[in-house]
Amino acid sequence: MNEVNVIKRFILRALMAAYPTPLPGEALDAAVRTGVNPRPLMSDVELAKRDLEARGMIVGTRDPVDDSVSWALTPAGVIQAKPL
Amino acid sequence: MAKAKSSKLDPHAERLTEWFLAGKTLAEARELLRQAGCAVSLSRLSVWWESRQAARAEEALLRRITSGAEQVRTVERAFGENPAPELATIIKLHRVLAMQFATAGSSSPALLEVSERATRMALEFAKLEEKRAARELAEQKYRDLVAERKRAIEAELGKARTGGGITPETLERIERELKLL
Repeated sequence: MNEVNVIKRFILRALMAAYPTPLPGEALDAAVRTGVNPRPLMSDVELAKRDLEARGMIVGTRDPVDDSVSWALTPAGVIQAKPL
Repeated sequence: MAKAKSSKLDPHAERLTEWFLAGKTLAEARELLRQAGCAVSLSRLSVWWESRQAARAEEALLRRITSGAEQVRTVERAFGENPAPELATIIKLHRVLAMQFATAGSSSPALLEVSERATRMALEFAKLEEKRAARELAEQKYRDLVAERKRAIEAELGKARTGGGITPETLERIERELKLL
């Protein structure tokens, strides 16, 4: 399993742990950096998030006031994350 | 966090974890395993333990995320739906703090205490807000009641005035008192 796939797997598990509460972007990034070994590059974390978003498994919502992003699982993401 | 492959050490996982947490060395654990009928090299045992520790750390992190998310939901429920903008800001701040604490990679009691304190403070604030809203509602009800009674008295006065059943002095006194309401 390559690094980005490991990160994607972890992101799904982390969002499932918080489900249905969305995770603030900074918290998700901190979780990935803590939970994935070896500690991944942020560029790989971003790539993993974009890929999961493009596949319709996670969704990022932007706060109109401070521009921060929170991430949550979509129904398809929940199905994917449950057996992990 | 790759999924751990099954190992012949897995059936002994509980005992091995207990031994290592009690401070046994790899060599001591290997000897105990050998006596239990499981021969394994030191390097294999070391790799297994490392992966086991990583899995345990990951499980602990995910549990903290679940716990942080539960705190966030508790606070959001306490503030109700469609909170005022300033309350929404507090909720959001609490969400960021609780989840940052949960994912910071530390399970230190001090950090967890700070996180729990932040949740308690947010909940206390929610209770105060609830009390304030209840008090404002009671005040509004009182004002409405007074206004209604004033309207009723004025209506009665109007009737008395047109019917001539009240002296001008009494009328003046009642009107003066009405102004005090």
